[in-house]
Amino acid sequence: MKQHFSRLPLLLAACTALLAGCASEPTNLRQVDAFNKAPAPLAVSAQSAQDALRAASVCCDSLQSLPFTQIAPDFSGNVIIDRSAPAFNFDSGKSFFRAFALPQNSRSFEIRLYSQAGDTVLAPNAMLLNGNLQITRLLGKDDFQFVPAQGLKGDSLDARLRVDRLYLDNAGNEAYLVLYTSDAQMAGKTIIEHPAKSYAKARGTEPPNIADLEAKHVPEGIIKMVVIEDKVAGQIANTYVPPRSIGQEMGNTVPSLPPPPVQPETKAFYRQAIDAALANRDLEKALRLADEAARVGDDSAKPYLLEKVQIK
Amino acid sequence: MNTKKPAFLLKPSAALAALLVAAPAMAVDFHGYMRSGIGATGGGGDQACFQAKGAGAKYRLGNECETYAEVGLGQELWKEGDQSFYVDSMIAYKSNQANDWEATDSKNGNSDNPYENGTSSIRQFNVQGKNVLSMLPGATLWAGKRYYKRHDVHINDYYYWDVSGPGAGIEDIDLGFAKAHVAWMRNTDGNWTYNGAGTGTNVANDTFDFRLTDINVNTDGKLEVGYDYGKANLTDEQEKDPGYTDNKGHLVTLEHTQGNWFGGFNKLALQYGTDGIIGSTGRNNTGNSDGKMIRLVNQGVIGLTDDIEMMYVQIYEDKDLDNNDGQEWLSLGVRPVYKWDNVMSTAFEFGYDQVDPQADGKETIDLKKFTIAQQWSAGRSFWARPQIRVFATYAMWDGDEYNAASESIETGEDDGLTFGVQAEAWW
Repeated sequence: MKQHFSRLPLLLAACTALLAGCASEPTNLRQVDAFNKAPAPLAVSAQSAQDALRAASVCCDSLQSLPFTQIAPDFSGNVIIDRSAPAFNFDSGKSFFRAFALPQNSRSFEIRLYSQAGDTVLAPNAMLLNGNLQITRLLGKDDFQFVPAQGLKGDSLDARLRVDRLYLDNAGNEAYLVLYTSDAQMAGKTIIEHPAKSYAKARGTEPPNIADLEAKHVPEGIIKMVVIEDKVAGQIANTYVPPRSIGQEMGNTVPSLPPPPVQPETKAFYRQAIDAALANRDLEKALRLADEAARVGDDSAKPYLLEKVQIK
Repeated sequence: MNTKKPAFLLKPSAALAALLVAAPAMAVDFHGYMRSGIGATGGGGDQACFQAKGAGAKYRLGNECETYAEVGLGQELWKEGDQSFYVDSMIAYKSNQANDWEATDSKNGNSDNPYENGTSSIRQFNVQGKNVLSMLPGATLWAGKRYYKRHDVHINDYYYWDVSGPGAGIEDIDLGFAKAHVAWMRNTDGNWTYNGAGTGTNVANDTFDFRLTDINVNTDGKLEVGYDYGKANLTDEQEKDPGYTDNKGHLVTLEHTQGNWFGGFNKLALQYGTDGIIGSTGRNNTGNSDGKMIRLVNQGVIGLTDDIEMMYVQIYEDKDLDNNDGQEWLSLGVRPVYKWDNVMSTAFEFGYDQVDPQADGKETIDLKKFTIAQQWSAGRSFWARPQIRVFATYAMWDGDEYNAASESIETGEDDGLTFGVQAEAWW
């Protein structure tokens, strides 16, 4: 009775490429989990998965260099995190991972994650980052809850997270998602209700008094991911987030473009003008000129002025 | 890498989180069951279904001729700390699957009119109050119509311990070594037609049900002990009926469940019943003859290999009645399922029923049923549903004694072949 809970890898077949994206399910149907086919859990042995993780070479030295894959706002597919996936030394431990660039110009959306559980399960962590690759959210043990199989849905550790796109130009908008696991998650296990008990509950009969099954937490697994964008008419009508400040809090800084290099002629012009103002003993004008020079990108005008003033 | 957020930012989100936690409790639980399909009999006609005369059940794979569905909606309506109230409901529907239009308001579910053979039934409406009795922490007080701790055998749809009906009780009383459950259940006999004063009135029967469950007896093994006392609850008029005999009954059930059993589990139940309770599976009936009954039901689902799961059942029931109308019933069945992959499997079912009437001179009858089915289901497990199956069924019996077929097969025939496609789901 090895594999009780596996589900048909229908989507898997349709989306063999990790990110093929299956947008064939109508949105209103796929919002009911029980009507949505879940993929079969990966058949992996805990030992071989742990060995593979130990042996895996680390892909990148910082979050900034993770290989992000763009996904569409109607994405629905299976994320396979196995030994063919890149590995990274997260602060929470080394892990295989998949990294995604989230839709930027869509309406707000919900991401549903279902990590399929059989004899083993990858207990997921999810990391969200803003456009500057600063971490906004870290989801783990408390956020991924076991939800038993129902209808076509398999046994899985599930989480739903909402990503806001009310203001598309908000620099704090979350732009990246990383799915991985952690040492803490791998130390745990998931209890799965015995299918004979699920049957009994559905039929209103007395469940057999037997032990439930255990899924070991392992470094490899398959996570069904569905992105559900807000409906056309929904977003503005449903939500208003009152703006509170221009946003330096929580590390949200407007990404500043480096100013184009200042032409030597411009530099010379400002120094000349500053000299002229000083010659007229108009210190205020000289300061204004130095500020103006700084605004066009010439940071050297101010020290130049101060130097002149000190000499006097 | 954990971002440390300023405390003031957590306050509003904590309030929001509390709202979100409450949300799942407000979701409606949609439970149910259905089976439906289409079939035919070799030689022509609608699908026949085969059951040995007098047997308590029939093996069901490729041998169900009706559409049956249960639709259940439940919701936790209130929760505060450990205390909660849950409302459950279920309506059942049945029809002969003969037509598109099968009215559910027909007076008789098996009406000859093929457009009016449907019927519906109010099967469950109850409220369960968890932890509301302060002196019994962990216990649930409940009342209403309910499927009450029914024990069944899946492959022949046989309920050997079922006192379901209108009732009230307290369940999950923690005794330390076991959990105790007490209930008062009702069932009613049809018109009492004895030629006395009580003619034409219904007889209300009570069953008082006591159970001890979760008794540890061996590794992965649990014991359940049950006692049912059934008795008619007579009106003054019925009491005065000179022909009425107050038909009480006792039923004792012992059941052992063994987990970790060849990759599955085994359930062995032993029952001893007397008088009024014999005719049913825990409910009292006033029309019964006195007597005694012993019943043994052994069943299980095991994993023979990674790819083969099998359910099996053995039933022996001896009803020894004072009026000589009793019988011995022996039933053996197996359903091995070979899984080709995560979706497709092949199931084989063999069922044997033998009924030996108590009266001298009456012939013993038997029925053998074979079914092969190709199945497609949502997952590999024996229990995986929804499932669609294409089946062929062959049954044989002694046509000189009786006709085991429900229809399409002439009296006197000794065997029958049917085939069809059926869907089954529970959720």
